[in-house]
Amino acid sequence: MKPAPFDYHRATDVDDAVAALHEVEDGKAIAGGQSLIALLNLRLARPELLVDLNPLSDLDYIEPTQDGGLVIGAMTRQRSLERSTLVRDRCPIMHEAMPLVAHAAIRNRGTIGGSLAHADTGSELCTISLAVDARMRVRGTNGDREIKAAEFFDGPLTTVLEQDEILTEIVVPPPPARSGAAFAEVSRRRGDFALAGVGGVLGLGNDGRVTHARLSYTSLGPTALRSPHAEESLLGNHLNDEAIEKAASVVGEDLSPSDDLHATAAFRLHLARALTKRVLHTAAQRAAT
Amino acid sequence: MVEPARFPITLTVNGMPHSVTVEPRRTLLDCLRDDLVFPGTHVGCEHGVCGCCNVIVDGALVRSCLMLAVQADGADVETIEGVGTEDELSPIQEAFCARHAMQCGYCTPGMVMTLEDLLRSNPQPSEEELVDAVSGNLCRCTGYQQILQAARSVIADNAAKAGQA
Amino acid sequence: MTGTESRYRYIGRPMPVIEDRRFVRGRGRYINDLAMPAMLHLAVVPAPVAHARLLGVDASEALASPGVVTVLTGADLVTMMEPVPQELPLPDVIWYPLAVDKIRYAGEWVAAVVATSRAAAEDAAELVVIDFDELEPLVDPRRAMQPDAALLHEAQGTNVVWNERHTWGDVDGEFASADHVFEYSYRWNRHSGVPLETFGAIAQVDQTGILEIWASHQNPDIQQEAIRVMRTPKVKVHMDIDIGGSYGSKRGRKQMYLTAAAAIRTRRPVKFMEDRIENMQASDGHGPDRYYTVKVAASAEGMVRALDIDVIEDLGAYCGRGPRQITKPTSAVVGPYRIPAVRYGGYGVLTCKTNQVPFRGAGQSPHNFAIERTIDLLARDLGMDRVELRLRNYIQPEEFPYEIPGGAIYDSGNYPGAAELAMKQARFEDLLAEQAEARAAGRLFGIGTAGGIEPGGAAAEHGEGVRIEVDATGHVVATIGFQSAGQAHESMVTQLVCEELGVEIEDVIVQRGHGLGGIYAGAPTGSRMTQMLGTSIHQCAKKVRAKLTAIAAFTLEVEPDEIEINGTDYRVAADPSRKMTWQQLAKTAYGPRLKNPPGMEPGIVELNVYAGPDIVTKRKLTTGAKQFPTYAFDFHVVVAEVDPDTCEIKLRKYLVVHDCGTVLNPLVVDGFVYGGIGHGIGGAMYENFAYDENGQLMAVSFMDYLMPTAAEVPTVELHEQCTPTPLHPYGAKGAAEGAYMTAPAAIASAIEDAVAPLGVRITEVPITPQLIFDSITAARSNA
Repeated sequence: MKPAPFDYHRATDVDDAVAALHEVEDGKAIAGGQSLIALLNLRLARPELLVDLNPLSDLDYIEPTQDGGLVIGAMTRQRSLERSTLVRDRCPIMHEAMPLVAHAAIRNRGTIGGSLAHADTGSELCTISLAVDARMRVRGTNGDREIKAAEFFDGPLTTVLEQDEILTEIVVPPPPARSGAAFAEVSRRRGDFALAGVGGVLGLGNDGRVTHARLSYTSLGPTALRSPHAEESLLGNHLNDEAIEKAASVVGEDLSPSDDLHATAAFRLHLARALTKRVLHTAAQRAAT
Repeated sequence: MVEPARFPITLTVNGMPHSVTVEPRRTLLDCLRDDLVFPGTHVGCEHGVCGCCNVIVDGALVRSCLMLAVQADGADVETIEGVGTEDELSPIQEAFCARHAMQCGYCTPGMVMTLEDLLRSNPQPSEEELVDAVSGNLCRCTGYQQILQAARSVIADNAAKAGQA
Repeated sequence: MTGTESRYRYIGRPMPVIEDRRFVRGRGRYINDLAMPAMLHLAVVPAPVAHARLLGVDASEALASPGVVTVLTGADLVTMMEPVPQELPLPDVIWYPLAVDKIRYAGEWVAAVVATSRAAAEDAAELVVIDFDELEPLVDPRRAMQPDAALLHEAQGTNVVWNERHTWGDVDGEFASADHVFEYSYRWNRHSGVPLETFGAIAQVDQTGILEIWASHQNPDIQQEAIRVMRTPKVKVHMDIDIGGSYGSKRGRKQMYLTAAAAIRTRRPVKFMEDRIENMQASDGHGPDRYYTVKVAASAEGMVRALDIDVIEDLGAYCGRGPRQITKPTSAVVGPYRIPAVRYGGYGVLTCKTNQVPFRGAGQSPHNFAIERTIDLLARDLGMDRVELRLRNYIQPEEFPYEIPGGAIYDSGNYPGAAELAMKQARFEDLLAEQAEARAAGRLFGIGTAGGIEPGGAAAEHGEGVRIEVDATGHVVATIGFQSAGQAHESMVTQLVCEELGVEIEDVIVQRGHGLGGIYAGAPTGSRMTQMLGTSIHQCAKKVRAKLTAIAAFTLEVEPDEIEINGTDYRVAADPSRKMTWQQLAKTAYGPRLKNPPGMEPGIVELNVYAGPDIVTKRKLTTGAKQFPTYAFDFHVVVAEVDPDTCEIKLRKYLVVHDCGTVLNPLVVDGFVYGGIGHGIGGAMYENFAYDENGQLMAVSFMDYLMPTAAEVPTVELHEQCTPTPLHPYGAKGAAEGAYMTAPAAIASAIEDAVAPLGVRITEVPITPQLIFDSITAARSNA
């Protein structure tokens, strides 16, 4: 199980990486490589050129923003996110989910940018980027642009990134006022990709009614997905059992899971509903305190 | 097909510098085993699940099957061969022997590296932290019982030492 | 043995395992660590479809690829070797390491590329073009049995290669007169040992023309088979590497022969180290794959009067060793129960899957599952307590030796004792109270129990040999004929040599031999090594002592029967001051002949082969039944909880009482029990070699073949009971398989008990959240 041959370029800076990718037909940027190298070893990925972003240590940072949010460099290791007090305080849902990402040895190499750009439907970070309305800052031959998480994922293992574009920074806006967030998933074993996962961020008004709702899903479609129907059903309501039941009952409108060896689409949907309720209860509790 | 260029790399393994020229596709695992002849790091799955190939690179536990050798240029790598000596095993190795925390021995190097990594940064992990760390390595022989018993004994020793200090 | 003064110096003590010292430092030496000068590497070309006529293999492009030395196809192998032998004599089921005229399962090896590196071999393997004509994929044995199904081996005329049915006792009479008759069906999906080390082999022809083979192969008897298959007596299978796990499954015969053929073809050393996909798809390493129908006849009091067990076994594409797994359970066909009449039989069916291997217990685990599920369901249907029903039907301690239907004789046991000890240690009453409370709170909380028989000492008619030498300095060299895969055989041999000869651990060298080394060695299968090799060491040591006694008697000028042994001193019983020390004896044996008894051969080199107890070797059983020498027992108590929302299953408690007679080394035996439970949890809840309807294996990586991690295995509480066997010099029974044989039954019992309030019955493994979801959904729609 050895990779097919490929050329290798050690990037010196982002522009150099972009230029290297631009020069070839089928180049691929490698960040942590924790999904990509497995695919290379299995010969399921066979780029002609790998452009290594690991030398770009200036993309490894977690910094607070004035507005209470965060900017995170794309090459920040998952392990750093897990251990960061800034992430804990300013993006608690990410803090909650990080230990569920594979195992420590993987998180030591895996990066936030790599996870998002790989766009696996089973990726917790993709789900969370939707839940927190993250924005992706990217650079390509045509310059810099910023893409909303909601517009970033394009299909199975696919994003809207151009072949020569590189994700450089993730902007995490501050949580809404009086907010609560929660993440929950069901996986077969510790560290496995989830059969289903749900991230939820709620904001409450002074009257206790929901003013902000984000619900996003892992392994419930070709890529990470939000449930606008469920979000919509929550807005303007108190977070009582009835509202939570209602939200859970409509998530199916937005999700499109498929069958695989480990779970049928029907079971995944069942889990999505069950976890939606669990996440909403937890998030409501957290918002109330 | 055009032969891709090969890369000269220099890395430190268990404190000794090594230089070797590798194809870009060579994993750190294969480089350690076959180019530099550190066969204690084992091949289990080559897709990052089993943990047999765990080594410590620049102080962090990694799957050496999920890292390219070219990426280890300039790195400081520690393999099982660098843990303990023939005469003085590390506390984890000693506890593994005392509790028979292995049978076939194939997962053992990766398992020892995982526990070395855990206990160096966190000498007294909670039970949950311990199980979580060990859950990143598959063992097919032991049902994990004697591995966890061995680790707990080292953790208890660490706690006792901390109490004395 | 606790609490009483042991008559043994080493036996029963937790002796540190010798092998562990090298393993913790990464100094085990496995097949993948071996390299020969100028060695080539082999990679195979897998078949893309499950069933097809093979029209041609075009390797021209592959041969031109950089580094490639040769490409072998099935057509080449036919001229170089005999077919790989199979369990049954089936002249029309012909099996070669590479497909010859047909592709019979997806992933079957069609060609082998030999190149200067594994990567180069893989590059070229992608360039081999296979021309084929697809046929109906046979994925379900129940379909493959039908007369209109496609035939896997046309000349055989049927896909059913094993079809027996044996009736022992008055089965029909018991069913006719029974108060209650129930019928249950079970499904045991494929899982296996799946060692973390894949199978590997290295072959070369040495300078004298001997074909040398090193492999992670567990069974030394491969030497004899290799001679026949490779058509040369000049074969030397080395048995001196460490094996990275086997559990019965490391028997890569076709891998060894393929590698040997490549070495013969290239005249260079060749290594074939399976990668994980090659291993999962085509290593002939899958375990049993069964459909059961069990009919049970019971009295009003819940006494089981008869069982009628029907098995459909999905063997895979060739016969391999699969049928052995159907027949092994006849050695313990009634489990621990006093059941007077049994019918056992069924079908072994060829399908488009990789072959079976006899994995841990060789089919006994699914059999125990079927029996224990039947007892649980019978209790449910009779409205009786599951444990009470078991205790009522157990063979009682005073009934041993006990002959079961079919004729196998259980040597000894105390099943109610083990069950009662387990209940007591588990505080069963408290568990029931906890369950009542949990259920009242709407939780799905279940308690499971199961007991199981472990037949030990497989195929005892095949001997197990050892050579013990004492050199002139008094060091003892024990040579055994096999390499081990985690069973701590070097430690066991050392321990017994020390026990028998009085020497110290550091005085003993254990050497692992090879096929031309003159050691008769069978196979470390069926929990037999303590039985067979242990007894062989006991007997061999007796020969050594006899010789030393003769030398001592000659030197001390007394008759041999006047000599007594005290530690390593051989002294005159009547006058202990007159003695010879170990060193003196050793030196004398190799010294001047005049100092030795007349006619005695110089040196101390004794060889022994033990062929098993008379109960196995000198009794003829009813047709179809098997006998093992010893029968161990274990009883498991498991607590499981199912999340009513997500159907996740958590094992909250695991307790086992294990009884394998005398325990030689508790560190080792405990490890077997724990490890067996680990495998049992895997098989019961996680692992499944599932194929899709086209015959493609869906679990080809560790991402999809789910072996439990430390987070899925609960802490296991282990208690021992000791019922020694009269058939072994130290009273030890086989121990390495039993916990796996019983665990799936116990886990199923617990999970079923958890979801029983919802009307769900568990009749299948693995028991996954998906299965729970489907079962609950079905139960709701039926209600």
